[in-house]
Formats: sequence, C-alpha cells, structure tokens
Amino acid sequence: MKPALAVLAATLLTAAVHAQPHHPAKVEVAFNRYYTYAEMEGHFKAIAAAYPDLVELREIGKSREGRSMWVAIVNAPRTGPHTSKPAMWIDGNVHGNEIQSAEVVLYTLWYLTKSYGANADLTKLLDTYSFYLCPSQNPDGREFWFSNVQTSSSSRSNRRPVDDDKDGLLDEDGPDDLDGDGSITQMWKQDPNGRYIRDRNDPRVFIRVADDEKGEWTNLGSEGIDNDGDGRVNEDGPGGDDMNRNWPTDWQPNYVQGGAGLYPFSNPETRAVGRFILDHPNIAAGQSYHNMGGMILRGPGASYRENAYPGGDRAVYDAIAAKGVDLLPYYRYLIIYRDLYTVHGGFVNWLAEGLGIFSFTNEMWHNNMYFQRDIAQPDDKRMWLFRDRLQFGEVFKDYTEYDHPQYGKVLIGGLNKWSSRITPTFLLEEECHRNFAFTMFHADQMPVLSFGRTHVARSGDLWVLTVEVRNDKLMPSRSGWARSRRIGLNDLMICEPGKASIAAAGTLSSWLDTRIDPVRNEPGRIQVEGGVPGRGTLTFRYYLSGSPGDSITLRYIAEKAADIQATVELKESAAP
Amino acid sequence: MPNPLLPIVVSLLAQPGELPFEARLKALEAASPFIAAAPIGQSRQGRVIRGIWVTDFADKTIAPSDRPTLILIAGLDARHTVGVETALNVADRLIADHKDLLKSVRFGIVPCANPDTFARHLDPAKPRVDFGRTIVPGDADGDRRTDEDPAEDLNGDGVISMMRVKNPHPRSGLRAEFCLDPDNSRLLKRPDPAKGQRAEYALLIEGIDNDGDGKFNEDGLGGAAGGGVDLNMNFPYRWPEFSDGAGPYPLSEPESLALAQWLLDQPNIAAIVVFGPGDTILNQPPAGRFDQNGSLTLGIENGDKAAYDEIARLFKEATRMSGAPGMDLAGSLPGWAYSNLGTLAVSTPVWVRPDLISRDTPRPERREGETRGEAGPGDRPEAAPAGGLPESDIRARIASFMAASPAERERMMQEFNSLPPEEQERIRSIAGLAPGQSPMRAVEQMPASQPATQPPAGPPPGRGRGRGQAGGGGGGRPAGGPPPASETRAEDAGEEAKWLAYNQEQVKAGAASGFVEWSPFQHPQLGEVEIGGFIPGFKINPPASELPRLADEQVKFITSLAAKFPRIEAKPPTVERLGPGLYRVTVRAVNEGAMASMPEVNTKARQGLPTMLTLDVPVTRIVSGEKIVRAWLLPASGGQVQAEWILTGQDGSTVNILVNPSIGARSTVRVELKETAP
Repeated sequence: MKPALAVLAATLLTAAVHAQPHHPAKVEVAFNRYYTYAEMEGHFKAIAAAYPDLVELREIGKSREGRSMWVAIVNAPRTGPHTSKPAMWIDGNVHGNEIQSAEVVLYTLWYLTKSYGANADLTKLLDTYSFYLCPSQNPDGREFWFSNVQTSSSSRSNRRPVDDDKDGLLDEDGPDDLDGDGSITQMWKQDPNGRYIRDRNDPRVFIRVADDEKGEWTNLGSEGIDNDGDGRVNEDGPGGDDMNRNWPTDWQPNYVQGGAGLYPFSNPETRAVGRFILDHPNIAAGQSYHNMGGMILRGPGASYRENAYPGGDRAVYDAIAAKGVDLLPYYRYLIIYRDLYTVHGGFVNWLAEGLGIFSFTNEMWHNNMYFQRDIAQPDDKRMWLFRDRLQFGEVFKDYTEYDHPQYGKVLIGGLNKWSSRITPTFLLEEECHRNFAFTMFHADQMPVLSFGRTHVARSGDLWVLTVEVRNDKLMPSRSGWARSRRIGLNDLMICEPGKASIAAAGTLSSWLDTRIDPVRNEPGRIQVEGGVPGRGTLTFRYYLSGSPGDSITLRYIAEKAADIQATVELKESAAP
Repeated sequence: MPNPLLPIVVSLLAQPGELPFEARLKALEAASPFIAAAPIGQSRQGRVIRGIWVTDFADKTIAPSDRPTLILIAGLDARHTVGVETALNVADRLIADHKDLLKSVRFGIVPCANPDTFARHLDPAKPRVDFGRTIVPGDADGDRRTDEDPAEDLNGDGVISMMRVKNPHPRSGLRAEFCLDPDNSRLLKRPDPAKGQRAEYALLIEGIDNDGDGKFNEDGLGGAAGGGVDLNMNFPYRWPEFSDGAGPYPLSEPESLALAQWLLDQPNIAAIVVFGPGDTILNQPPAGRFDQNGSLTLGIENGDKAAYDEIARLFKEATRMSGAPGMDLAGSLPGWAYSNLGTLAVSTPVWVRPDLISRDTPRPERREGETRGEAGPGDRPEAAPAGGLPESDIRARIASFMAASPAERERMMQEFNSLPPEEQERIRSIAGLAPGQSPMRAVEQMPASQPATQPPAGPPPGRGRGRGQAGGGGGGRPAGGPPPASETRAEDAGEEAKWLAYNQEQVKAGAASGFVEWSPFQHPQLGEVEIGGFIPGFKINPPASELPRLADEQVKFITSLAAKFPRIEAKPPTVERLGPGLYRVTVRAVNEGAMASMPEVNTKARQGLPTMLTLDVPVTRIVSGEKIVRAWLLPASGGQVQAEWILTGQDGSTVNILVNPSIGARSTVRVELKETAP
C-alpha cells in the first residue's frame, strides 16, 4: 500500500456537530420502500454528485443485458487515496430476488456520507479506512424481479438463457401470469382424488389431509401453460446461473454444484466484480448481503475446507460475529457448510479462502422479526395475522377461477412475490441500520499499524535499535489463511540507515527477549510473511554502526494496512 | 552452441515478424479447399491463437459442422515443439491421404496454443530455457519485486542449464544434497551412506541471486518457481489452487480462456487429442474413483474404461509406444475436457525415448475381462494395480510430501486418507512404512524433515508444488507434482543414465549433443561452480529426422480413432393401426459407430443435447408417449433408443418424426399412418 498521510483524529470536527442528534443528508433517501435498479443507480449518482470529495462512482463493467455495474468508492481524501488504506468491500443482490440486500448497501453509502464530519466515530472510521460499495452484483436479475411477474424466490439467477429441459430451445416455457395480477401464484384444481382441503375458517389456506382422509383439491404448481407444446408445463423458465456459485474457490461443475455456470467468472457480472477485487489488494474485509434467515455466515462452504481455516482467523471471525449477534436481533452466527448447506464456488468463500479476506454474508430478514418477541418460528395463524393486520392483505392475491387450456377450470391465487423473504417496508430502515452498524464494526477491526516503543542503546562500538510495530485492531495485517497459502505480498519492514549501516538485524519474540532471530539477507528489507498479529506487536532489533545523531528511517509496509514511517536518531534512550 | 532443436522450427518457412507455423498455416489455408480458418482468440501479447478446420467442404452429404469432430491441440507447453510440428504435419497428411474420411469427419487443429512463449523460444537472441508456461509478469516470492530474479545464461553458451556446486560455502545458504554418480560422473545422485557416499554437491538452475535475498532464481522466467502459468494447470477441473503455475484463478490466461470458450461453443466434438509432454493414454487415468464430493471423477468413469482401453489399443497399434511420462490431470485441459465438456480427451507426448518403443510386433491386446495385472513387463514401464497410480508417480509424491510445507502436507494427507485402504497400504509399502503407519507421523519423526528455508533449486516453501517446470529435463511431470528438479534428477538416476546413453547414440549418428558437458565457471556469488546438464527440451523433442515417422503414426492413430466415431441412424418406423384413426408408431435411432454416442461422463456433465426423437404433431394428438423422447448415451455398435407413440390421425395421412442425434446431422422421417408389413 502507498504511504498514507498521518491519520487525522476527530479534532477536525467542529464542536457544534456533537450537539446535533440528527445529521441531515445532502440527498435524502427514503428507506421505507424498495427501488428498481434504475432508481438505485439514480440514488448512487445523486449521492456521488452531492459528495464529490468523498465518493467516486465507478462503472466496473456491464451486465449481460448491458446495465452498468457500479462501485461507489467512499474515501476521505484528506488522509490519502483509497488504495493507501485498508478497505472493506460491501455488496448485495447477487441473487436478483433478494432485493433488500441492495437497499442496505445504499443505506451504507447514504449514512456514511452524511455522517462524515458530523459524527465523530464514523468520521474517524472514514479517515482510517476506505469502502467499496456495490449495490447489486446482479442488476439484470433485480430488474427482472421488479419489472416481471415473479415469486419471492424467482429471478435469483442471472439472465443467461439455459436450456433446462435439454430440447435445444432456451427459456421457452416459463411460468405465465395467467390471471394478470403481476405475480406468479399457485394453480389449484378441484379433484375428487385430491390430497388437500381448504381450511374451514380461512379458505385462503390449503391443508394437506391425513393419509386416511379424503381431499378435494390438487396443486398444479406455479401459474403457467405449456408454451412450447411439448406436453410439459413450466419446464424451462428464465435463466440462468446462480452467480453465487460462479467464483474460483472450490468451483465445481453443474452436476456437483447446481447453477455453477460454465466456469469460474463465466458471467460478465462476476468477472467485473472479480477484476475490481483482484485489482484492489487493500481489501481486508468483506460483506456480501443476501436474504433470508437472519444469519451471519462465514465460510467455508464445504466441510473438507473447515480444518484449513487457521485457528487465529477463526478467533477473529468469532469475535466480530459475536458483536453482530448482539447488534442484530434474531440473527445467528453460522458456518455455511455446517449450518446452511454446502456451497461450492461461493463469493465469500472466494474472498475468504481465495484471497484471505475476512468476510461474512448476512442473510437479512427473519420471520421472528414480525413479532419482535423471542417466540418460536411463527405458525401459520400468526403469519396470517401479520399479513392481514400489518400489511393490510397486500401480500396475498385472492383465488379466482381461470379456464386453463390443459387443465380446464382452475383456481389461481395465493401469496405474491412480496409475501416472504423481503423485509416489510416499515421495518426496512431498522434492518438496514443494524446491518450497517455491524459492518462498520467489522470494518473497524481492519488492521491499523503504528510504531510502538522504540529504544536505542550502545553496545561497544555499535548502536542497538529496538522497535515495536503494533496493531491496535483485531485483524492481523495478513490473515493466517493468506500467510499459509502465500496469497498476496509479504509485509516488509524497511530500515534505511542513511549515513549509518546495518551490521545485523533480526526479530525478537517479545520486547523482553534478548537474542534476535537473525535475518541473513537484506537486513534493511525484512520480509514479514505473517504480518503483524491482531492486537499484537512485532519487535525488530538492528545493530548499526554510525555516528551519534545519524538519522534512521523505519518503514513498515503492508498490503492490508496503511504504511507507517518513523525516523529515529542514534542517541541513547533512557533505560527502558 | 549447437542447438539440436532449433532446426525443427526453423524449417517452417518463417516470414519476418510472424511465427513460422503461421506462414505455413496461411499457405495451407490458401492452397487447400479442405482447410478453413478457425480463430480461437488472442494471446496475452496479442498474437492470434490460430486454429484450422480440416474437412471436405465441397462434399454436401453432411454439412461440415454436423460431422463428428476430432479436436487436436498442441503447444500448450511451449517447449513441446514436436507437438506443434506434428499437428501441422497431421493436417497435411489428412488432406493428402484421407480425403474419404474428410467427407464424414471434421478435424479441428490448434497447432500452437501458447504462441507468446513459443515466439520467445524462437528468438535467437534469447538463451534456450526450460520454460513452457505463459509469459506473465509475477512476484513468485511475494517480495514486492516483479520477476527480479530469473535464471540466466551465465557462461554465454546460449543455454540456461544447471549449476552444480561442490561443497558450497556456508554463507551461500545452499545445502549439499548430492554426490557424483560413481557410474557416471556427468550425473549426480543422492548419497547412500551405507556405501560410504556423502553429500558434496548442491544443484541449482544456472543464474545468480539478482536481488540479494539469498535465494537463486526464485522469481522470474526459467527459475525454480518459474513464473508464468502452466496452461495445463489452469483449467477448472480439480484446479490446483495455490500451486506454483496454476495461476490466480482457473482460466486466468487469455490462452486457456479462449480455448475453453471455443471448445464449449463447438458442436459434435467426439474426441480431443492433446499433443503435450504428458501421456494419459498408456497411463490411463484411474476409473471409478471420485473426489470428496463423490461425483467428480479423479480420472474416468467406469463406463468409459472400455473406450479408453480401445484408444490405447489403437494408439499402441499406431505407435508401438510402450511407456511414456504420465501427467497430473488436476487443472489440465484433458481433465477438464473430459469431466466438464463431457468428451473423450487424451494427451500424448508424440515422441518418447527409443527404448520405450516396443520392437516386437504388437501382441494381441488385452480385451475386456482381462485384468491389468496380467500385462507383461514390456506393456508399461510399471504395472500398477487397477485404478492405482504408477509407482514412479507415487515415489514423486512421496518426495514432494517430504519437501512440502506443513500446511501442504496436511492437504496431501487428506488426499491420502481419501484413498481406498489397499491403495494406502501400497503407498505405505513403497514408502517403506509399516502397515497402518501415518505418513505424517513418519515424516515428523525424521530428523531433517523440516523444509529447508532456502531450498537449493526448488521453489520456496509453500510453493513447492510446481510441476514439470524447473530443471533442464522438460519431461512430463509426474502426477501430484514432482519434487524440485534436483531431487527428480537424483532419484531418477537410472532414467538419467538412459538419457545419456540415448544422447550418445544420437551424437554417434551425427546429431548435435543434447547434453552440455560440465565446465567450470567462476560464479560471482558462489565461487567455483560447474555449469552443464541436459539442454532444455532435449527430453521431449526428437531430432527433426524423426518428424515424418511421428506424423505417420499420429495420423494413423487419429484416423483409426475417427473411423470409430459414433454414427446415429434412424431406422424405418413401424406403424400399427389400433383402431379407426388411432395408430401406434415406433421408431429407433441406432448407433452404428464403434464408439458410444457420448462418454458416460456426459450423462452427468450434460453438455450439448441428448439424442431426441420428436413426434411433430400437436401434443393433443398424442395419446401416449412423451412428445420428445430423449436418450443421452447410446452404447457403441448398436446401442439404440426407441420411441413409441400412440396418436390420433386420419388413415393414410402422414406425420413427421424429427431425429436429432446428440452427434451428427438432424433428419426427418416421414411416416404414413398405414399398417406396415410385419
């Protein structure tokens, strides 16, 4: 990383701002609603234009359908360019239907920019770190979800046409909005051999009967017809690859990992994001938002990689996530392969295991958040209460009769695409804020280095210079994973002796150690493969020949921490 | 310094500013109606990666793109000039001698998949170097200096060969590990203390420690960690992440990405043959073994063993080759093409040392049902139990295990533990361990088991998994990654002696020597050293005089393979009248070829389409049967799919059945609704 200016503290803040409980934004954005991709882009552009010193909006590529992919680079230039600081990558919406995961990124941009210079903590954070905010890794999938008839779980993939039924035609027989209500709901047919009945108290609810009971209705699946005339209904719907399976780490072909795509980075979207991340080795932390379930997930995605996580790294993950569990009610800290399901080629797996970046995926929204009480998973009855009384029935389409070309008279209706997975709009701002707060805590654990104790003594004709490099944060300047896989560059401890010269140098296991582990070659340029440990120190000792008053320049350079520099004069220190 | 290999490529009519083979390709394209250009993409330095289609474009019986296609790829490893040459010669001969076959089969030939490095090797101003990867700036040792310590031609003889250092000074950081081979002082070996031998020599690639970090040639072209990306480690099949040469991610190279995308886009590929240093034909990949997820094959599916046996039989018949260096499939093009593209894919070095050519007339081959254990000693260099790795590969793995970093060892242990118990025991016995003994424990208990902080010629710790890159050998890399070059050399002392003997014969016959005699050199950092050893590329490339024979053999091989390609034909349908306006129609599509319509692996990978029989009437007329009947694999020689429909229709009217074979041309069968004669 290039040398940064000395980090400025909150002293630049005016006293007045502390008294102000509300920090107005130059661009006001409502967080009680959802935005189409075009609207999302509009907000990003408006905020970037309003805060030109803090935000650089960069187009990192185009989606398959030609939409711009955006990363907002948030950085306080007075403390150096964004590449000179450790950065946190935050993205959302790689699954097109998981829409609130983009709003939370917008919230992050909105809140960070309006707080800079107004809130002391966030100002300090932004003076120390930079942020790369990508609202949607899947603009086409988001747009398709908003502008087309969908369910809450459709349009997860990208828009690459895939021949699901292997008949040589692409996406030719997806669901159809037969009743024209804007959603894909369910088709039901009255059937003397059916296995369902309608609830006597609430006919919206179809109940499966016991094996020895007689039913009246049969479920015919999602709304749709046999578009291609092959005798099957909805067998080849739109898209696509699951772009959260399209990354290089533990990538597996489709028959091992569904949705993997043709090869890692085979999609323009994953390739653009991948290129940006590879070009920014200063990224030290990552968050990739999804829905749903109220989870703070870490890798690995497959059981056989768990033991490969170094213990020190796991401790960092555990400490950060523990705070997240406190900040995010109903969220649990889970491991992807163990608590969710096996994922090959996932995005945070690539960040964590391919690149050695401390990364989480937050799965937003948990049904318990409806009730704000620590009750078990809400039952159907309570869910309907919520839908009826809090959402005023807007997530349900009443059943209507339809004359289906194959099935004859059917009922079409049910829960629409807004009915699940998505945070209800009146709760959106709070969930965005809590997640934002968690990622700021996560960001605040990125390494910050400084020179600690420095001591100069005489030993015969030589000077003995002992210096500490300390890291005040939880994350080491090189993750254990990066170190053991030799990912990225070693840290470097540089000693430029000026008129003096280095006779020997090495590391001490602690400040109290008396014998160095010598560095045989290039003592002025010590390769530090493991970096500076989290909340820890490294101690270096130099034996120098030189004259009193000679000036020695020390520099410590790390890929994932701002570089530091100090000058030491050859002059005996007081006894330590 | 005479270079025995350059004449091969110089014979290719080079024009200024272009690669020799390009001129020849253009000449071929212009002169022959049987050739069309098939551009693959661009290399990192902007060269066109050329491909050609070879088929009879004039014949209209089957459209060219409908013909079963054999893809031939050479030059992934830019040291393998014999592959590049032979691929071009094969194109010539197909046109000259196999015009009939070209009416029904299409060949796609990519003669040089790594043109940048190939071009570098043709530059007479640059010393010959053992480097076949892509040229990409890198920082192999992570010290923030790019390519700062490459290998060098110190003595100016035009070749970057090896240095041997007798009793290296302690300050050099080098460790003596070898002694002179008492049988041949040109060679080094590991000392046998029981015979009173002691380690006196360190062995490393020619060069200096440019950056003064105490390591020699650790970051740059031709050095121990090599730099660049091995295209055969860069494909997304069991990609060997973090290994030296694997690249930062799969298909990170413009060359591998372009090839993969091009292959994904081509219909009707029946087989892929790679000309490269490693062999997968004689060294058949293990059948029926899978990775930790349980469905990705480590080699081939059981159901494809017969096809691979048949390929080996045809290959031996054509070449009489009895042994060849194997290769690791992880990250390789053939491994990916088989498992992801779902096509038969093999690799051959084209040429091997003459003692690996069987002099006998070919023996009757093993057929199905016979066990591999019955193979005679001449059949393969080493017999391995079914599904197991050859012993030389296991030895190489043991060596790299011992040299590996602790983390890497852990990974290798996981791999070891996933093997069947009998295979584990076999490896233990080769390693000299007690039954059931943990290899990890055994290594930890050995006195000097820690990896050297400054390995003499090997890659730095943690990156010690480079394959086939370091050293002047240039042979195929053993499975799993060989130890650093120096160790391979010493442990394959018998092999080295054979290469020397072969060289001797070549010299006697008037060829230039492939071995640089050791000669003293005053090294600026190490003092007195000797420089010498095999010339890079010598062990994988023959003298030019061999090229015609090799082309004959390979043409014989690939044409005999192409003659067996699947050929799916629809048979005349039968019609039964079940009642007024109600008919049962039955039709079969039969594979008349001697190979299955697709390998078994493609019933998982599902690239392309199944064979489909479609009754082309509105679905409301179909009383029974799926409108489209699909079948993925039609076995060889008569394998078939049968479709049977009951449909309504006017007596005497006609309906169409669309026949879409998974490979080959589509057709339409017209059926009259009238009872057919029994």
